[in-house]
Amino acid sequence: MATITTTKAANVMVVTVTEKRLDAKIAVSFKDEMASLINAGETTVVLDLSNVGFVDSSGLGAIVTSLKLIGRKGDLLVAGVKDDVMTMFTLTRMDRVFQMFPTTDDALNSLIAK
Amino acid sequence: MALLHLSGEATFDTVRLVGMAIRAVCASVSSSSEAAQIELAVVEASNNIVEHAYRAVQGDIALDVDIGEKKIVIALHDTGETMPTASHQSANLDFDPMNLDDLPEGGMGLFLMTSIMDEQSYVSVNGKNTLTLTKFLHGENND
Repeated sequence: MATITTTKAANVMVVTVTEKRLDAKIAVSFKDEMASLINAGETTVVLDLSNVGFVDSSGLGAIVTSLKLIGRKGDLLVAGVKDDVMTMFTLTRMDRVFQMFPTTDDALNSLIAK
Repeated sequence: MALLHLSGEATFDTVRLVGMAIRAVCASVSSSSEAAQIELAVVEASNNIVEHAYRAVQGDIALDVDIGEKKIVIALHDTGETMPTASHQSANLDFDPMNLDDLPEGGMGLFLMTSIMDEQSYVSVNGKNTLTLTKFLHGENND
């Protein structure tokens, strides 16, 4: 079962996680789906986590893997992170690694402004 | 003082249920954000049991949740492999946020558990492993 849906806006791929929990149960599927997109050339990605109420270290690790796969070829922006999930990013200091935005629109606007 | 016992087959599906139950129970005596963090700590501990203690074999996971006025004590039991003292995971999480190659993709579980919980202990007796996680409430001993 797919863990994400995608929408293309100009050259930006908006990836929405459809699951409420990005955890060890789905981390491998999510990582594989992200890798397929990135390997197909989608290297500017906005990851919409607004449906997600819980992220464990497997889920966070899968997001990091996606960032590494994109590397310096593009961008991985994170949008819509709920407060409880933000705690995971701040505890691990990943809030300093990812560009984070309140909404997908905010993330898209920041890309247009570049 | 209230005691809750949870047990099931050690799978990621069970871990989800355990996490949701722990969050709901902890939210009754703690803030919702603290309850969410305790859920995270327990999920990380439970994932370790599924992934490492049992690895390829099946087994059960059992939790005793002790909700007191001043602290929450959660004991996780398994009968899988005993975790080595020098675990594959580190209680520290050191990396350069600016260096892509340096970013951790895993091994953050122990760090999260120690960051969130106030005390943790691990004992193995006669093939039964018990990890005990303690969170003090209302800021007591919250250093």
